[in-house]
Amino acid sequence: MENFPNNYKIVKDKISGYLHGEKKLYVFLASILFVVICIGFFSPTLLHGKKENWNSTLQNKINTIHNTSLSIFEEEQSALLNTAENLKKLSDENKYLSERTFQAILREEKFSKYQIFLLDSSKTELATTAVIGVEAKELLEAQFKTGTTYFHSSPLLTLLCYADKISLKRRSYFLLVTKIVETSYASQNISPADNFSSKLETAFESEVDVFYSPAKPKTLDGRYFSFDLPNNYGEKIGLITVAKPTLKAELRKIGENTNKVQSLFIIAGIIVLGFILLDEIKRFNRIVVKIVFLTLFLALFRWMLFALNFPASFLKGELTNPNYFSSAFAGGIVKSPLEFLVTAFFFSAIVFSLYSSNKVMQSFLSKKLLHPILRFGVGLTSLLLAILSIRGISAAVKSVVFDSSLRYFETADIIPGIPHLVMHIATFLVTLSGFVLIQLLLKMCYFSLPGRLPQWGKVIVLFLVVLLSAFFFVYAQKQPLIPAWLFSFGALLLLLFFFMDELSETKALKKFLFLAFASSLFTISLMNFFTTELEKEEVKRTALFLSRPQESYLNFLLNESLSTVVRQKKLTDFFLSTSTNYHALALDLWLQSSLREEKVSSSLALLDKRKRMLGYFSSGILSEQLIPQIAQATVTKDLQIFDVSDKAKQWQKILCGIIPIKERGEILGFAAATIVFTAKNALSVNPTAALFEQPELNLRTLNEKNFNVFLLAKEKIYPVSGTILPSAQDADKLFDFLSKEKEGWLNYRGASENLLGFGIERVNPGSHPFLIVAQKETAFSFSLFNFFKLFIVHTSFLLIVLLLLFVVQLKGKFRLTFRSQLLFAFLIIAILPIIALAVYNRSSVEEKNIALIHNSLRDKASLAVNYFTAQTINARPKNLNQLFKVSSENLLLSFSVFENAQLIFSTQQNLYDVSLLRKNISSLIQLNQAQAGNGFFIRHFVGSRELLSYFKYITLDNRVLFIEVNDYFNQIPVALNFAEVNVFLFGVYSFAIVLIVIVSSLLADQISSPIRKLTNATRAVAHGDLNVMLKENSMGELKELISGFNTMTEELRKNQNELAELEREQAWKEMAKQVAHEIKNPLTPMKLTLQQLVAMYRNKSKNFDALFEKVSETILAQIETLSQIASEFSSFAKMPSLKLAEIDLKKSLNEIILLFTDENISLHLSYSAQTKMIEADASQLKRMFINLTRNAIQANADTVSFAVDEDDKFLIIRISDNGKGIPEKIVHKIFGLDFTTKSSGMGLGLKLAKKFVESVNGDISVEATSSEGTTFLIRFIKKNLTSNATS
Amino acid sequence: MKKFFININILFFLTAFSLSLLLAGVPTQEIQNQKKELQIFSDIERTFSSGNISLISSYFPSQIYLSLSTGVNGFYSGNQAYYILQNYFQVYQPIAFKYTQRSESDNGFATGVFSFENRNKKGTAQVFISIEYSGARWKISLITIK
Repeated sequence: MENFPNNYKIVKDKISGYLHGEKKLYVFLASILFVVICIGFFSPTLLHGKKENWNSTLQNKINTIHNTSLSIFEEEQSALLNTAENLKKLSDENKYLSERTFQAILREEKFSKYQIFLLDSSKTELATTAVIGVEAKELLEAQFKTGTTYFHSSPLLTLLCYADKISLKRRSYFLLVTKIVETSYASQNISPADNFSSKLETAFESEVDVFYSPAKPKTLDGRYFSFDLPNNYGEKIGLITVAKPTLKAELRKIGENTNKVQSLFIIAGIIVLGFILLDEIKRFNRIVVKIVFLTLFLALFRWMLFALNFPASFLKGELTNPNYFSSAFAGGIVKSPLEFLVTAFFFSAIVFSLYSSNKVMQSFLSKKLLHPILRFGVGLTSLLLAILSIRGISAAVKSVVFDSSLRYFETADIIPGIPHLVMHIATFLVTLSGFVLIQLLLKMCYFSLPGRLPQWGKVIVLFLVVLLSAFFFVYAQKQPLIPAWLFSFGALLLLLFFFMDELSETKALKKFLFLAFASSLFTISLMNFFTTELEKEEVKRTALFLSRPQESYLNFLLNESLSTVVRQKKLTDFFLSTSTNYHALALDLWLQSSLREEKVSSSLALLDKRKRMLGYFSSGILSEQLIPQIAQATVTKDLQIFDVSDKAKQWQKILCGIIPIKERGEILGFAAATIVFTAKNALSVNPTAALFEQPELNLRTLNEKNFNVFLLAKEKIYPVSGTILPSAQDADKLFDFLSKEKEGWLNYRGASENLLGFGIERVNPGSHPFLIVAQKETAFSFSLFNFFKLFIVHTSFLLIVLLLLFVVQLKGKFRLTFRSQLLFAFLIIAILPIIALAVYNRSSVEEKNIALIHNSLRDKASLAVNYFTAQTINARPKNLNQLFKVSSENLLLSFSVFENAQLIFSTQQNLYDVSLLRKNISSLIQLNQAQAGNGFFIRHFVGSRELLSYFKYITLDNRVLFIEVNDYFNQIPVALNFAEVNVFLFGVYSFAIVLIVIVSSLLADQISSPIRKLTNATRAVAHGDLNVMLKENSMGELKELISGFNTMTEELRKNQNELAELEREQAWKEMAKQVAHEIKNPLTPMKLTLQQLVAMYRNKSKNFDALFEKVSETILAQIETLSQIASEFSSFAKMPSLKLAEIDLKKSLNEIILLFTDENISLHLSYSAQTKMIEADASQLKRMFINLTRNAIQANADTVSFAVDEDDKFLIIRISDNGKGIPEKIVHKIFGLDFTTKSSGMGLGLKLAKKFVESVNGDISVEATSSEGTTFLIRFIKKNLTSNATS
Repeated sequence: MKKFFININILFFLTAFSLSLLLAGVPTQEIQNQKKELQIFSDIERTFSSGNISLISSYFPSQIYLSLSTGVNGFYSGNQAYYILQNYFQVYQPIAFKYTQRSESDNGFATGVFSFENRNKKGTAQVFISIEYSGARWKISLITIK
């Protein structure tokens, strides 16, 4: 225990040690694997435990379901009560609140979810916010007290109601607040998906039945359990019955959840593994190896995501719905829009990482591909792969069009929904990545061309080879995927970009933009082409569909629909009730049946025991056709189906079915359904049926376009649909062709148009053996509208990507250059007015359209009124309804008429009978009383469709009436609808904006280029490079500035040289003086002592020997002095001392590259070493690199590559150029003093470079040289090794 | 003479035998078609019993009409139809399938009852399938499950 703190610290330190540095990733990975294995081991235990405790679990689940259901209901109920309470408070607090003001309050947005009624004390409706056909009196049921909630059920709707008394200006009123809790159809703010029972089913994933009646008893079926639904007073108002959870379902759910958790951990493990691999990959020297590993990892990762069904198993919805898109490519790896997007991202990641290594690969290949056969092989393979890749892109786009229900061009909205957006992004990514990949392959092709060819020659050869190969490839196939012209268009775009990339110096961002633009153009062309092909296939499919008999299918539909109808639980309840709206019931049953979804006209009728009509709903069928005589006459004990088609009408099939509705063996009534199948119905949308269609994202069965359909016999044509028929001569030719071929594509001319159609032999020929479905050829051709639609989308993506890049690049280092300022200035000046113009045009067109529709409705109403007046001018009409019916048929007008705010006639009577529309419009009239004289417009929903209705006050036969016309049942054509306007305007303007951006960018480049070059040149001069010379291409002041700069640097160089010369001279003089002075000093004593010695020798002095010794010593000492002097001077002549410092080599090289940005040389850096730091003199290092680069320029090179690698000891720099090279016989001399091949210069550059490198223990040599270029090899000792070596 | 009669008999026998062979070969093609059609019906039945779409995916044409009780309604490519039906059978797990009617002609059809389990509850749905013989193979042109 005493040692616990110490032990704890030791353990903690150990753990921390593992969690830092490289080891932490391994620890994470191991932990994840451990968790995955544990889950695998323990899940059977969990399942077993569930089985053992199932009974108690089941009871808990039942309790939870019970409580949750009541809580969900309580929430709805409370919201309703609060709303009513607020309204009541309003009236209580404000005694002077008038009825009119209160009505206005009711229309506020916060009450839009409720249907609120204001009634007087006699329960007459004064005002309402309800738009659905619910009448207040039905809702005020006698058995319920005010102040309590209750349900009111009708066949189509169930409402939760609350009634209370309020007073306004001391008068008493009833306030009825209701909310729809169940609906059979979708309308404004309501949808079957929001039904109370649907919410419970979704929450519990179990079958739920909600009965909105207090009388319903609890179920006795042991598989279900029931509980009461109480109101705010605890009284039972309904019953909920839920299927009991089963052990099997529970175990399956646990299994699924366990798998999901395991999948998440496995994915996390793969991500951690990825980080580990990235670290390891960085250590590899060979970039090719790195790329291979990275590619394999990404591919494996994608495959694992697919195998684990991620993210589809976690995200349910539109994006994982194969209805929108799915392809069988690679075993289903793109089986939904989301999977396609994920695969596109991975594909892009792989391609872009391949592209990042293309310079190194080129450099690698340049060394290895010396043999011509090898070059040819690589070139040919690359070319083949490039051609196949273009085909691959085309196949991908074809799949996007053919394997998708989304119609990218036919819906007028630019982005109708999320699936469209996801598909656009994924397609864009795939094609852009495909283009990048093909660029790589083209580079390999280009690179494999013989080096002897000049650049322009290589360009021409590549151009011709690629285009010819493209043509050959297409024509060699029996069924090419795309035509040769389209294939070549793609190849041409790729080639243009390739040449721009290779031959001009363009920044990476600009290159990316151009490539994206090119791939966008190709994508749009492909999509347009395949959409046209799909439309042609729809023509063929329509012909196939219509040529076959439909009887068996129609029989099945009737059979299934009527069987479903009689199985409906609520049917007998409503039949036994006295207040049922049978029309609404018929609509409800029709909505539940298959009849609703099929492209036929249909009806459903409910009859009493004696087969008298109780109610019906009809979608496109006339009332006389609802119940044929034979059905009436026949005794019906079971389902019977009658064929009542008119044999004379070749193109019509009418079937009627009838089935008894029984309760405990007793017949309560009958249900009868009628189907009318005609070609016209099959080709068009029934407007009544369309009221109940969910606004799906343009999923369609058959093409709604104006097909021309006709039957063909010898010298006879029977038109079925459309107006453009062939001439007699053309008809004969078509007949002869089809007699021979039985089916095929054909062309004919009609109404000055060319038509393309598909003809086929009918299965039941009758008198006309062939059927032809045709459409105008212009419908299949390319249109600018289609182009702009997709172009806006792609442009938007590009802008977003640019914005992201801009933000990322500028993070922390905002720098507005002169060029950027110019560019922004141009863009602002040009784009703002365009945007303003586009917005103005759009609103102008929108206003015109609205005005057109309004005027058109007014005209239609006036037309009807004038007709009524004309018909009644001489004689009083016997029957107004008859007059209205006749006028509707003669004028082809759909309208309704109201008297005393009650409906008296409508061409859409059925919609009022089924309570889709209100028969009482008193509150509408009251609300718009001020405009009633001139007429007023109301926007409202019928089913899922929004209508604009115009109400006009008229007098007829001394009766005050209101006539209503709307824009749904009276189609009003506009030149461009709102969405089309958006596409056209913004498409055109976005194209203009792109052009402006391109032109502005070019202009900004051109204007700022001289300034940029000047800036870089100045920077180079500051770094000591005085050999910079700028070309004087500009005009005006800039030319003077550049000329001045050149003169200045020339002068500086001269002065520097002169100064250096003078200094050298001065230095030499000084040195000579110093040398002379220093030498003189020891010479004088040497002379004196020698003179003395000679004198003594002559005098034969006795001290000669001693003197001799002394003199020798003196002379030797002075000689030593002279020698010292010589050494010192020699040291003095050495290089100036180095200022060693730690230098970031990569940074230095990048700075050097920047210096030459505006010169006629392209510099590239490939830094694959991990070490960046060396110890050297910064200025001498830079001078060396500048020198070597200048030498390359002077050797006519246009490319210099810096490739930095490393081994254990050295950082290895290879500087390669593609100049004329160094002749072999002088290679060994280039590092010598005063050696130069140039006409100017002292020839010291390479010598100084060698000296400098060797002074820091490195070395420099010529690794390779030839007529295609030279490579210098420089090695520096790595920084850490340097310090180790010196310590 | 005897030889002559023997020869004539042999000749007659050979001719009759050859003719019989020829006549027997005539319905061969039709029988082959019928056998394939029976195969397609058998594959459909197994698909609806097991939920394995691969059994019938080879019969899907470039565009097939689907009308399902999940609200799917329209023409879809063969690829889409595969995954749509796969999703459908994940929601409505197959228990059994039984034909109620079959028509074996060039434009044949079949109806049947599909038994499934969904949300802890067993149920049945009516199925209608339309097939056609086109391009020397059988194709399923329409599947309706209601």
